[in-house]
Amino acid sequence: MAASSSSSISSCSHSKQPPENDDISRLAPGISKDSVLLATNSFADICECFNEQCEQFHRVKHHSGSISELGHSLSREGSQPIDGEEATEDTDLEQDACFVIEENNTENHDDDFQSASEDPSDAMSRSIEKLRLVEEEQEDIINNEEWQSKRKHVFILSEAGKPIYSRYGSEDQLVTMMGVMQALVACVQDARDSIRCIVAGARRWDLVFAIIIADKQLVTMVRMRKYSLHPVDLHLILNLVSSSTTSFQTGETWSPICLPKFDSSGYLYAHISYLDDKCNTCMLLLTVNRDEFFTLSECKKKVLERLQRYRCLEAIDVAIAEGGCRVSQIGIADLRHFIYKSRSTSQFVCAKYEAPYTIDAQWERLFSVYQRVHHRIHTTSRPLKILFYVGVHETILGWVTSGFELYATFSPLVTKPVAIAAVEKLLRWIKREEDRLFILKSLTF
Amino acid sequence: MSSKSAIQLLKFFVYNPTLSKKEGEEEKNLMYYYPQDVPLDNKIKDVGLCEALVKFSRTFAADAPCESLHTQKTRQLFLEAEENYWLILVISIPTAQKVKDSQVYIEYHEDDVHDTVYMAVLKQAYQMQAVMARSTRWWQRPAWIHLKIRPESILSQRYLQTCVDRCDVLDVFNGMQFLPLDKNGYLRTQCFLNQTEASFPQVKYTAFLYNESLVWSDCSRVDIRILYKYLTTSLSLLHGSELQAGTCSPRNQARTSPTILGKFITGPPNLADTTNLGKVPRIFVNVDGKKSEECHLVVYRALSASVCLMVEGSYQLNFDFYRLLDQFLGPQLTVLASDIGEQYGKRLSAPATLATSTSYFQHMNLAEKSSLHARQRPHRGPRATRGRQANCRCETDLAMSGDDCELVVKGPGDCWVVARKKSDQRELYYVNQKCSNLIEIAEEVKKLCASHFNNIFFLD
Amino acid sequence: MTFRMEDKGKIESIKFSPDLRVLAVQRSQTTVEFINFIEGMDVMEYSQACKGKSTRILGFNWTGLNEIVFVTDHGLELYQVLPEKRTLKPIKTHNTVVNWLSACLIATYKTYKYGQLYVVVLRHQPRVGGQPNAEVCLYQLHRESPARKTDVLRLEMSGRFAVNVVDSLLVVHHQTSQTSMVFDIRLAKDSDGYVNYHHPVCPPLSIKSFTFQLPIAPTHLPNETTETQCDLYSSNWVVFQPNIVIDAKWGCLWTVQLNLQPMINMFPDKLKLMDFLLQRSDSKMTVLTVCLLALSPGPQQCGLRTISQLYDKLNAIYKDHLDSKSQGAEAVAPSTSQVVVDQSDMYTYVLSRFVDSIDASGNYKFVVAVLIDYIRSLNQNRIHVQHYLYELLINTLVQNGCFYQLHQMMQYHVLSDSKHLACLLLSLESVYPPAHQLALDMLKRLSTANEEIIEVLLSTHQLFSALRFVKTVGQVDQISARKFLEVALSTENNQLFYTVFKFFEQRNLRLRGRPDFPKGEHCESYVKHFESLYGSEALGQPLQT
Repeated sequence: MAASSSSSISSCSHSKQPPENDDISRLAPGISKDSVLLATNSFADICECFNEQCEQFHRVKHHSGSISELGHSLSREGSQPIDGEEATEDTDLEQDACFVIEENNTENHDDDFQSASEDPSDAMSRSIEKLRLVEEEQEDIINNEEWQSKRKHVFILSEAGKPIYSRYGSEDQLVTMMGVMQALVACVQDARDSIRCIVAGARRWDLVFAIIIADKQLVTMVRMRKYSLHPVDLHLILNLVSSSTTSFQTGETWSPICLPKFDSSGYLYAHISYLDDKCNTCMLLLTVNRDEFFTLSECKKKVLERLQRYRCLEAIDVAIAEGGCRVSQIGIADLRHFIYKSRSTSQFVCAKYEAPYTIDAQWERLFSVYQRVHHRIHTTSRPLKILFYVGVHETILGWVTSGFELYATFSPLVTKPVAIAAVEKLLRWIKREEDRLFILKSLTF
Repeated sequence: MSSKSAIQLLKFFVYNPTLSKKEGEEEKNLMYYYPQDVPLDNKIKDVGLCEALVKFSRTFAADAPCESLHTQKTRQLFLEAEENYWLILVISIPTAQKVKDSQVYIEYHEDDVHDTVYMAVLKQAYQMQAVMARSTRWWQRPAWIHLKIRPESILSQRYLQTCVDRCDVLDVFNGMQFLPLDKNGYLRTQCFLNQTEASFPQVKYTAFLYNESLVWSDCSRVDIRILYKYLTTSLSLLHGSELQAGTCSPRNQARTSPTILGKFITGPPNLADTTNLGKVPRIFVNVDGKKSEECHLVVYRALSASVCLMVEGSYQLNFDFYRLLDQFLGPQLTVLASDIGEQYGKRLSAPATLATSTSYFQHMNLAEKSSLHARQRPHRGPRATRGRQANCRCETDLAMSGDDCELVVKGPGDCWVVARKKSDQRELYYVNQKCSNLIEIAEEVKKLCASHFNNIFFLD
Repeated sequence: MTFRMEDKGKIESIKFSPDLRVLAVQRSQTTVEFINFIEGMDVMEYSQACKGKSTRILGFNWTGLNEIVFVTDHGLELYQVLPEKRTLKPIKTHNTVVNWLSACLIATYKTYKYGQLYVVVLRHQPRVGGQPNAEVCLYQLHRESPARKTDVLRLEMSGRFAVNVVDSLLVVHHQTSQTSMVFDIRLAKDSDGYVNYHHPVCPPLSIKSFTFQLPIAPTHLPNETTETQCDLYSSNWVVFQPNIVIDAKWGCLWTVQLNLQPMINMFPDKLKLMDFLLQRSDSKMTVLTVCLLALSPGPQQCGLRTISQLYDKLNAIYKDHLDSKSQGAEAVAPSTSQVVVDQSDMYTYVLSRFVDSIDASGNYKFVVAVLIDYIRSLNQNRIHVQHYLYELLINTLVQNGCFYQLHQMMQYHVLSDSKHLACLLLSLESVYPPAHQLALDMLKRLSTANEEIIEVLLSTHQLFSALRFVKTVGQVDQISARKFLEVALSTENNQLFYTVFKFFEQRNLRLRGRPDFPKGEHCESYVKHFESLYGSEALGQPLQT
């Protein structure tokens, strides 16, 4: 990704000529050559590949998956070098249309139009027929208030329109509606086009992006030298661990897991177990080989014993209790909150939510503001370098350079020079605390 | 990067699903469909898809009707202009050829198409047609499409395509440019119009424009907005060229008063020939819910000043009326127009260099100032389009948050865009290509406000 | 004044000087005696004879405070009277062609008209076609140049006439028809380049009949009187200048007054009527009535264009009056009219009454047009428009819902900025929300209304705008924290309260190095509220040195 000229928020000292190439942005705390996580393509590329997926339904897989290679290389020992390029997506899996319905219930929408009454038309008769059937059978699930009011529905249906998964309500009650969806998709596909979203009320934001390590945050990681873990895969693992805590706590679990960025055409096998009885620290051991369970559980015992000897688990508990870094500790008066992402290590630091975001679910609102700013900066057609948004509740400064992405929140009354001075002070603080905040060295074997 | 394909108008159709419920008679629901040469069942299929989408989206958002369908290649906009009457606009998404690891593929720039902008185009097209044509339900009458004065209708493909091409944040404003006139000049104009209305009781409403800028009108806020759009686009008042002194018939008054350069734009082209009463469009005034009156739109122009008279629909326009009108308006308008010309010439708004552009809109009275758009000079440079696009982007963001806010962004090519909004009363968009950092752009905006907006309460 | 004189022979003519300080008595054809009346009647008399042996004094007239002219059969002799020295100084003699004096019945009057001295000569001259025709010729007297005939009044009647000058108007009484004709030489006239020919301003009118009290003949007691009807134009009438009529039979002396009121509907052309009225001395109320009638529906209503011209006439005079007043020159130029109709008169007697008279169904467009035209006229004459006129216009527009037009006028700064007007706009906010913003714009333009702006912003809970405004005007350290925190609390918006609280905490840090509020600012309750919301650890820390 061509490193665009690093933009500069010059220091607010009243030097007449702002320094040409601002040293602050080159400072870019959290830089490291070989990082634990390797994000080969930036967020923008992720969108592109989503485009490609829709465009070429049946593109031939032009790159052999890592798992199959790993399998051969393990057997043939001298494996030839594979560039860091992650496996490209593979479209042999049955094409699943996944419908994400973001229901709009908060936006004030000045519409004074009445709803049109329902009426069949021959081209769409098949699906509308079903719709009318649904009407008559009065299936309660579609019209029941509570089901409709959910903020986000996720439906997965096969190409033939067979319901596979629905986040709320049982799939079999949604047969007809899934049919309609499939008809809508098919109808648009006739024109070799594909539906991205249907807007009713609020605009839809598509990608959500958040990593939390330890209690949902990465404490440390060890990886094979030639292979790196993509942040998206790490997310899958974290969601897996956090969403099903009970099943893993009982003992050691052995389950297949597909990491699409690593290799979307095969499975890895994960040995998952909690190291402490309070179930704060969870360890996953990922292997290509299906029958390594016992060796890995052995390995877990050795690691556990080592950790207990160096009393690492207590340190982890303390770190979790302390809960990340606080803005009030840094001593920058006007700063309320910040998220700093080091792009080379694709790790980020998010300040703990403090006043005024501790009440009225304000932090949820702030989080959605960050989402909107992030999306706004990373639009494919016009990516932005700096965004300074003075809203009613707070002022957000978004600053993206080749080295890092910074999102800082200030009081709505902050002035631009004060904000810039605060940001520079913050960057210097992050630089000092670099080692504590990021995992810069990656351990390989 | 290869150049982007322009946004194309693909389809535009109007349907009402409630007209006929029976199978096989869907055709009756379809009022109008562009392009005409599309086979009937494709048309029916399109209508069917829209109906299904509206029905489907209603299950999840009962109160918010379906607004738009984003597909990868097209953008489809839904407007229920009147109860059960749906207007559908389908435009293409701009594409660019891109090469990635030796494989050429098409990249779709979905973010260049903003729902708010094209919804505004759709709404304006509807309002314009509602005002200009026979009745508010203009699509019911077969002959609605052919207006008397111009062969192609407002909703012609050409008009919509031009809107789709050059529309941007200014179309979302859909505001009016006001003439920067001093107090006395304004009062003189208003008294002149008041006297006109007093001496010609048939005249219900009046409006005074100088070139493209409005000075005064006593129509309602909604009407003047549509009328202004109509006058400055279809009636192309701005091409004053053919009205220079040379062509129109200067008639010397008996005494030594200046030559009278008045001429009817709509109405008898030549006052000597009493047979030809010319064409006068009929428009609907106070279309916004209250009683809607039908009026004749008589436009009289001298030098660059135009007086628009909305004459009572029931009044039978006759030659004497025109003659008296010409005698009354001619001398005074000529003098007024030349005085305004002198004074206005001195106070041109600051010329915007290519590097910076400013657009300002005041919701309260729909006043709009813009150095960006082609209103004064055609401004087709690539940077202009990028500036325009940037503005749209900000507009859509700001539109989201109702109350006071400000957005400063630095995009590719170091193009800074500042968008500021004062609780949906005032909006300012400032694009600057030269600044290097945030503090510098802040200074630029402060200077701009001090010079252009110091007489209003518009703090940064 | 009553006095007694010795009887030194038959008195031909006796006249006081205009300031009543010198009395001139003519007892013979060749000399005129003068008596001073400075402190009561002077004993010494002094006299002045006319030039030339054979000249006979036909009459004499005071032409200025101490100036007298002898009309003799050889011409005119002008003298300067010096009462202190009890002598006369000859200034100028003027020999005119003798014959015009003898050829006609000489009724020569000297009138003081429009501050210009005229000799009025009544001439009966048979006109072509046997039309009986009498004319009144006016000769303008100048010190240096000879008298010049300037105006001729055509009477179109014959018979006995008498001329009076009332309020600079020539009133010609015609005995046979018992009517009087009024001429105004200032009004529009047709002229052959040298002499202006005038027609009566209005059709001949008779003097209004009246009764008067006369003591009963024998008792001459003052309280016993009888009602007597005056017989107009009687043969016993003797007419004196300027407007004195003496009835020898009853021994009464009347002055002829002008009654303007009925003349209003005698002038079809309102502009001519206005010109006429403006020359009259106390015609202000009549002028205002004419204006009101010009607006209100009825026979006298004028078109907008005439009204506009009426306004321009009145305001031109108003402007001169203002200019002369501003230069401190108290000299009231005699020639210009005394009637000045300023905007407060127009407002109280005409515009406000007209607006009140228009009921809801009335044609508000005409009302608005009239008000705007008056404001235009004031502006055009560079007269500062008072706020009450704006209020009248605004209320009319608001009552009729023409907010958009009101806004257009605000945009063009027709309504000049004032705090008064800003308050009015604020009161309209419930009816027209943008009025709030317009008021703020106006207050800002005044640049002396910072407190008011802050009050307005706080009253509508626009705390951030208020604080940002305070910053731009550099009053951050002067404002009261309590007032802002109170409003912030009342909004029940915790986020907002947090921001405002932190803003003032920062001020405390900047001013005193400590985040807490000094006792005097009484902010304890707000600190407690903040702690209840965000806990005490969220409070600011003192500056780490």
